[in-house]
Amino acid sequence: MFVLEIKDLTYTYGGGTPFEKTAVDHVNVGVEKGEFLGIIGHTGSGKSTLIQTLNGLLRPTSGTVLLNGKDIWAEPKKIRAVRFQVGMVFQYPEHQLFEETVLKDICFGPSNMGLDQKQCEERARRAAEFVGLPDELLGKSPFELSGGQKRRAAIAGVIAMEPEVLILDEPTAGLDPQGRDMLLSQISDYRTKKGNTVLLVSHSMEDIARCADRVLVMNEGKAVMLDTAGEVFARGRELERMGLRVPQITGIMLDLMEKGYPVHPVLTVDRAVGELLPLLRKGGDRP
Amino acid sequence: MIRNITLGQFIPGHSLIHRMDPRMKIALTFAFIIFLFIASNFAGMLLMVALMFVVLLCSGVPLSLYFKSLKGILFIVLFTAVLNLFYGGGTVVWRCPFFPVMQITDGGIGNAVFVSVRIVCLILYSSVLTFTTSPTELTDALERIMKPLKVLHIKVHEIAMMMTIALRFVPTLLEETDKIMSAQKARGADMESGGVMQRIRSLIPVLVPLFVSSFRRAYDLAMAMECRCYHGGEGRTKMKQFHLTKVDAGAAACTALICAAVIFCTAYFPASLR
Amino acid sequence: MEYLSAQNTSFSYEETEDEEKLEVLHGVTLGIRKGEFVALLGHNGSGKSTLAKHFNAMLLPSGGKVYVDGLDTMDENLKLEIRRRVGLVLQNPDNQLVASVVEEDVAFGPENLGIAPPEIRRRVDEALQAVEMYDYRLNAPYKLSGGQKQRIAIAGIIAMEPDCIVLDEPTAMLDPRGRDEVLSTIHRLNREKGITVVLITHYMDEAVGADRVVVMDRGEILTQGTPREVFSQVQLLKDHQLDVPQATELVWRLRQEGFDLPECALSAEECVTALQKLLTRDF
Repeated sequence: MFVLEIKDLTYTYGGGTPFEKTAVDHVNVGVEKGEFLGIIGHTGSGKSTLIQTLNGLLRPTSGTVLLNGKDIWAEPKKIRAVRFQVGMVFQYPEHQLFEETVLKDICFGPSNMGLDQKQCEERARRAAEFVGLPDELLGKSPFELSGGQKRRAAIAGVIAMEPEVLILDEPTAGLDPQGRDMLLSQISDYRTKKGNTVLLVSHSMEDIARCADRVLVMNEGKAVMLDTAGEVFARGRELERMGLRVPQITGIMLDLMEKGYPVHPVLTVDRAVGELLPLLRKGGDRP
Repeated sequence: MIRNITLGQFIPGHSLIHRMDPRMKIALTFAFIIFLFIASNFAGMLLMVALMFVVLLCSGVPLSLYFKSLKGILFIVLFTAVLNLFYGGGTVVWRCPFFPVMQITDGGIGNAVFVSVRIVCLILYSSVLTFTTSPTELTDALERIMKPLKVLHIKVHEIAMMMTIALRFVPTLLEETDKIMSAQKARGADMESGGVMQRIRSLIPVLVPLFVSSFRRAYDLAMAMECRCYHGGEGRTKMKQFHLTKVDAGAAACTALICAAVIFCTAYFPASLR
Repeated sequence: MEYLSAQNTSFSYEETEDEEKLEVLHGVTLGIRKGEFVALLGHNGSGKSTLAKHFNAMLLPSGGKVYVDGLDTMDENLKLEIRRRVGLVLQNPDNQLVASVVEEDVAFGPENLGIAPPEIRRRVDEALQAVEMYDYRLNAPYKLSGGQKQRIAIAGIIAMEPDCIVLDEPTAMLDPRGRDEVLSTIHRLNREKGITVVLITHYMDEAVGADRVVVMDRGEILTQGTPREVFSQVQLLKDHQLDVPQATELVWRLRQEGFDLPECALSAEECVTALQKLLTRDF
């Protein structure tokens, strides 16, 4: 069964005015329980609008979002409960930190759920562990942390609500390669350990290629592809026409494929080495 | 939602009004507002309305945009109009059967119409100024108009610079507020229910990050300005020079003529003509 | 002669109540020639941004010297002249634009320099054309995309007619399209106007097009040279948790396996050509 199902969803900004713009156009997507779904598309493709309809921050103009088979807008007054089940980490989430201490800030979500202080702190500590924030930082002011630490504290603030579905919008934006690698592996670990569903929105095809099981491609408000990462990136030329790029390594393999070599459009350097070695050895053995 | 507020929105163009010297535009706007209140009979008001319409048409800005700027103040206009209905002397037109003190007189109706027309004209005419003059031009012009105040040790340049920057950052900060509110709502923040105190408290998670980000922006901006050799108003030049042209002279002459006519109307037509 | 020159430059942040003195640059010596395109790479906290801010006297060395075209940045009287010659573009495109109209923002720098109005007009138009944003000159900056805003920020510097632009992670907050726009703009300025460019970045692929790559780590220069020289040291870079482009890594890994591949491939095309050569020869 799908944990999240988007049915014929359309979202229009500024309806009825001359500035009317359809940001999401009749999109149908089903998200499997426990899967890691990557969402790609360039700025203005509607991906940010789409994810904001998933936790009820935006109400679709038409169509429905089903969470465990139930329309999230069935009872508009209970929409807050949906936000605890579908956790959303916005771009540059560190800009939302406001409490005196990191611990208190991470507790903000859980305490809004109505949990008592003890439960909140338990969850906060667990969440901090997931994102690799050491205990001694929890008593500090969030504004004393380094950029990467702030980012992880903010993500912990959402994880602490223990949502069934975690959505991250460009979580690695502005981080250096070291910070990016660390954060991505923590997110992957979180998914494996909790078995929860993760949706990752990113411009970086390398990030998506590394983590995602399936990839949703958005273009001009429409869901144009939804398939395994391998299948999607194999259609690299189509992606390029949409102004998207495949990971450099996939591009290289696609080039070799087009030149007639028996390789696959793999997503990582490891896999590429694995594919090329036998091919080179086979040739190399001949004098 | 917050982003939709039209706040002193500048609409680029090349109309007669766009080409006028912003100093003259400010001066004429002041004159217009003063004469709106001097005009106290229908003849005078008619002249003012006519002048306003000519200016609106000359501005090259679609009329629909002007009416959009009126939408926001519609309530205030109606409110003051209704309030004025019940004030004023003259023949009683209608009396409330339950509260005989509440009565509408022909004078009250006249007041209501006058006040509404005045507010609408005021808004429309000042919209012409903000629609056709870029915020920088506006602050530049104010800086130049206020220059004599330097004698009183008022930091005219600094004030103008602050206004320019404030105007520049208004949309940015509104957008930021929107984003922070969404982020906190996603963490279950409840900003729509509860009593006054609870609502105020629920603003803290929005206001603190907003202040923090404003300080960060201020720090960045200060550095960017220094990198671009900003060192106060001393020795600064301006790309846009203001020149009074024939258009300005014409506009000033027209306005002066109308104003003279308004004074004439007020003085010679009896107030009963209302 | 070197245009920008850091000579044994050290920098420490002042002591505060709860933080001890922290030295972030330890005696860096680096020279950059006129017209050169230099990419400065490194992690956050490697000191690359700190070094960059020394080149226009935004920061002053606590040890050693920094010269810009022979001018000592320590000389308070030369500050404005140094900043006119070396412009600095910052990371966040939103926070460095001053005015509400594009062309008025670009005019800000020349206005501060006290240049005559008609000359400012000419420079503003020229600068906007140089970054291909002339058609947007009457727009409000907040309605533009990140890449467009960053190009306006670059135009604002160009209008001061500097010899050199230092860009401090100008693409870190942009989407891929914005990154391409900004990169092609600065490459063009370097090529056509001969402007010296110092590009600070942590994206390795942005460094590939530079004349020289300088890698910083923990306040020191780790290695430098042409992109080819630097990226062929894959092991060194990996030891310091720095990325190399995937094409470079692939060729390096296959070389490790004993295949006869060039020492370094910088682009996908180069990598494909090299592999093809090897495969066809063998078949």
